[in-house]
Amino acid sequence: MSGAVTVVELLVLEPLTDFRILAGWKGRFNRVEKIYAGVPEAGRGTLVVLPWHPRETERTIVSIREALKLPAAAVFLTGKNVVPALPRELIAQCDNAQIPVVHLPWSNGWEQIEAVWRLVAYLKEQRMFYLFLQNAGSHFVRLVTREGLVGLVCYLEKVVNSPLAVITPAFELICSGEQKFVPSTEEFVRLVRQAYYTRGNCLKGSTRGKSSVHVEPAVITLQEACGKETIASLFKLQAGNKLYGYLVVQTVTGLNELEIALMKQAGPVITSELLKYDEILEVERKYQDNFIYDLLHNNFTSYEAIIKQGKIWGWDFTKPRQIMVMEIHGGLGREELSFEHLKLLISGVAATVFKESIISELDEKIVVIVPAEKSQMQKERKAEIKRLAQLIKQRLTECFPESSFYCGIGRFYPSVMDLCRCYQEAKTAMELGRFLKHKEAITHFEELGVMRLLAGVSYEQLDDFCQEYLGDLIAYDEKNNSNLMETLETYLQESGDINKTSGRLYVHPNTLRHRIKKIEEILGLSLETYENLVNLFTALKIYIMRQHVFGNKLD
Amino acid sequence: MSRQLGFLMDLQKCIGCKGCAMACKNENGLGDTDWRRVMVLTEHPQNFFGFLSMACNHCANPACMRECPKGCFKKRRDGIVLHDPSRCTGCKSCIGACPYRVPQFNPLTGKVSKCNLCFTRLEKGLKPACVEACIPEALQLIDLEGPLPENSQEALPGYFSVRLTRPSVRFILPGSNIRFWRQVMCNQEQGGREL
Repeated sequence: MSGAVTVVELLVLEPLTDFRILAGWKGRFNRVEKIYAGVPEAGRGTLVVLPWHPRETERTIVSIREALKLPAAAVFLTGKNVVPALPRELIAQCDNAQIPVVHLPWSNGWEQIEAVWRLVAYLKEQRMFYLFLQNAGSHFVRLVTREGLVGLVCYLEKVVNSPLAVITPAFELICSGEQKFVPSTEEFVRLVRQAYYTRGNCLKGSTRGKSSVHVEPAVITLQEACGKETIASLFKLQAGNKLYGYLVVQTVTGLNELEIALMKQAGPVITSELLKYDEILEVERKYQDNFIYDLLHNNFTSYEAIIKQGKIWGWDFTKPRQIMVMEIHGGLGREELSFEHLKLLISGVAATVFKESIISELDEKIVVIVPAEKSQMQKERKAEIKRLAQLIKQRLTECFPESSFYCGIGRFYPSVMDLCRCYQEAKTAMELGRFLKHKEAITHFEELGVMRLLAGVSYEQLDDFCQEYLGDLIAYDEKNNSNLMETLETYLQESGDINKTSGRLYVHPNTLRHRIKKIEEILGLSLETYENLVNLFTALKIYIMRQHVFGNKLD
Repeated sequence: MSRQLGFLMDLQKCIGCKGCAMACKNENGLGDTDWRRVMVLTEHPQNFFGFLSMACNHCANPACMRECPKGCFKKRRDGIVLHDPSRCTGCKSCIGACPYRVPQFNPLTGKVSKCNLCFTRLEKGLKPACVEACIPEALQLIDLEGPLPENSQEALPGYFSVRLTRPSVRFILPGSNIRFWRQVMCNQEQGGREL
């Protein structure tokens, strides 16, 4: 088979396109007459293929020098190891002789290079080489340019005859095709997410055949509620070290080699689309974050300015809003998810309760701004937003069982100009609720009860009040190393129930009764009158607040 | 937000000259109002005798912003909390809310005012007046988002530990005292010269 194939013509065709020029690139139009592994004794126009290994650098350099004498058409160094720089004088020699020395990061044999050479020669003979080159791999790019990501996904679905979707790294749906997953797209994605978080490491290798970090696709067998088994094949959509998502296909028997090759061919195109969206989102996010910061810190001079700017992102601030602030600590699982992924997760949940919600991150806390109806009853408004908080907590606990979650909700204000107050209240509720409501992670500012009033009272007055009611008891505990304060706190938290209190304190009810009597004696108050209970309860709350939230007292 | 400006107070260096307080008064034409106060510290656990200069702490969670019914307070992107006197009705809610008693009520104007971290000076590339005036360099302007001195801390035991509002101030605590007179006495006993 003849065909004057030049070095560059060989290198522009897959899979040889991922090459690195080391020297002599001016000779790229040298004709390749034959391909030889190693250096032949004679052979002008030979493409010399040398395997590269760091331990054999000297030998390889000697071989390159010999190839220069032939003179070879080009020298290809193959191997996945990183090639160190060639000696300068050798590079100069190759440049002068115009013999390209190129590194190909693959470990396939020279026979495959020969196969590509034969293909190019054939295509050139048939006068189809340039047509082939123009169109190779560009179908997917043209499809995406014309019909978007959804168009490409639909095309792939038709070819493999199975439903296909693109999902985020947090397993939220980005787009799917026309075919429906079994039992449903949402349920399927949920099963995949569950499988990832419960079985763990399943995406680090195929469960069939060779298990290796680089084997793709990752295959998960899913058991649906009805008992049927299906297979989810996941392809990573990665650029460099950043993961942009997964391409997931649902089949009954798994994908064959052709289908896998097709998915892998489409992968970079889909990744590049996601990258573009991400870059646009990043710029948008930066402006959005600045807008939300200014909104929540009262940096807008007028109501009209807020409305106008909000419209840029399609947010309607003519209607009132409410704010929730959340903090998630630890236990985020095997992979540290970024705030972006958490936000995606939360926005998915928020969409089930409110039509339009704004999720942002400020000061390492997640802020959720949801619409509120002025005409709604206060009770209904509160119940709705608490329900959302519960759903988010449920979802996060499902995904990250070891994490702890705290949430504070601010009060309703009819005007968006007061959102700064709502935001500060939400943060206060979250901080105080953590210590004051020992079982509940979600606190509305109104539920802080008397603490809400006390948050506005001066610290000296609070300290005086606390000292007046609890000073003697605190002093007694310090002097006698007793825990009467803890006993009183638990007793009041359990609303005076002796059995529950003694259970929590791990003491006998009679011991508890004795302690209560002692407390009454020290304080000079009866714990049976409501007035005393209210005062003591308030003093205790102040004491806890000072301990955990405000630290030491101020003078 | 990429910045949170605040103060670094080096208690080892502060000599209680009140230069910072005077500079602040002068810069802002305050009359009888004090935006910056210098207090004597007498109850430090290590029995330290020293001084604490305090103005607005430009908190991350400003209690004044939460309580103000008129929306007078705003927090800029550089972290400075500003008070807008044009909206102020003198209700004093902010004074009660602030754990540090920072906002000051002026009976002549009937409004509250407070330290604004000399933001106009900052915009011109100058330091705040109090920082500029501090001769021993005990008071410095810092960005809490940036690197902080290793020996700095958030709390001043016995005086300053309000975690709810998260004040943007850091302290370098004093070391142990050096007793010069004792050194003199020892030298005299040994027949040495007075230092």
